[in-house]
Amino acid sequence: MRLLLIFCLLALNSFAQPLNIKNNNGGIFSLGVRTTISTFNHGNIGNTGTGVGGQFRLQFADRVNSDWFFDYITSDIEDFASRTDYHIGWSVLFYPTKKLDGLIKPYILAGHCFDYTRLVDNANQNNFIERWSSAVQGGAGMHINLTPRLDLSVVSQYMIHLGTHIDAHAHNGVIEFHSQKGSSLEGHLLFHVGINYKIADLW
Amino acid sequence: MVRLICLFVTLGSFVMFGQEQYIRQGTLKASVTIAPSKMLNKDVQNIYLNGFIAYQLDEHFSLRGETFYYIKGAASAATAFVYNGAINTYFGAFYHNGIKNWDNYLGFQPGISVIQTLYKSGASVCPTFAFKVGTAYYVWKYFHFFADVTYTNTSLRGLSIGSQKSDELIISAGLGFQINTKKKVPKYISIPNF
Repeated sequence: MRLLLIFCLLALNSFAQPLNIKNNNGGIFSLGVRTTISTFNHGNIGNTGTGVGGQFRLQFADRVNSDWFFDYITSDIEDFASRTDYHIGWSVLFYPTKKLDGLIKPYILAGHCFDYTRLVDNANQNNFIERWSSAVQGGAGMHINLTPRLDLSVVSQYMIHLGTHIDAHAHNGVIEFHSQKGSSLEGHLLFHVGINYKIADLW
Repeated sequence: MVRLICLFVTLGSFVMFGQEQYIRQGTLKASVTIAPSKMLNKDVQNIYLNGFIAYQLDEHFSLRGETFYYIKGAASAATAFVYNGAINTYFGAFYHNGIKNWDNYLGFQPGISVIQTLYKSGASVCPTFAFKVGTAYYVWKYFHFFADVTYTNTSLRGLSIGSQKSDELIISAGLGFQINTKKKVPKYISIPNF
């Protein structure tokens, strides 16, 4: 227990040190958390959802970064059902500006994602439908560098899911879930606000 | 009377500005306190056990994790909507601005709430986020007093009565503990070379 405490204190102590950058910005590893607002679920603005997630970033080069994320998002389907999305994926971030250490660092991103979606009847938890699918996403964002190691990131991205289409309808008070055979494109617009802390420069 | 006030202000200033600065880079602080709350969408007041741990990255920024544990049976409600149990956990970053040992802070924390109600079998796992604003005064190298207000944004989904907004304003105040994990770097006075 005492060893664990000493280890934690030493680890914390290293967080307060300036990051020792080797060669270039490639190799910077950071950890973060983010909150998500999911809008336009299948084009419907009314059923906006909220989510929470985490990510780690591994920078490949001075102007190319990567973001590996997990998101947990819940949304309403009108007032009769709820929807839960789990996203796990990655994005590549490209910084168009040459300045590496400004306060604002804009970027564009594109990437892939795997996801699990579950629709559940509010009145009967045993009445549900689920599906696994994959997705691609693209968007833009910016890091606001609060300190050399800490940034606040604001991102907007559109995620298109490729998979079986599932939806929910209320027919005469009975909630029915439908799964349409064949693949379809559907998506949602995601907004993220995240906080990231640079842990180390790995190479 | 005026002389008395002047004397009090002057002495207070000496005490405040003459102290060693206890909050600095490397300060690790924690506390547990009782936190009452008011739900913003319902006529319900809850009571939480609130604990936090925070680490000061530099003079202006810190990382903080905290948990609000719902105390069952302590709520007062004018409606039938009360929790059977709840635990809300957050992690985020804070901005600090203060004078010497008086620290004002505000922060943003994404988090997750696990809430039990009468309207769903099992617990609801809800994404949530919080904004916090507060103030603290560091009275000694191991203790500080703090008071803050937290706004939490939570939507309970999948209930048999439909989704319920469960935003809250939570007030926390009390005694906090801190240690400094880094030695203070002495500020050397440069002596002019004549």
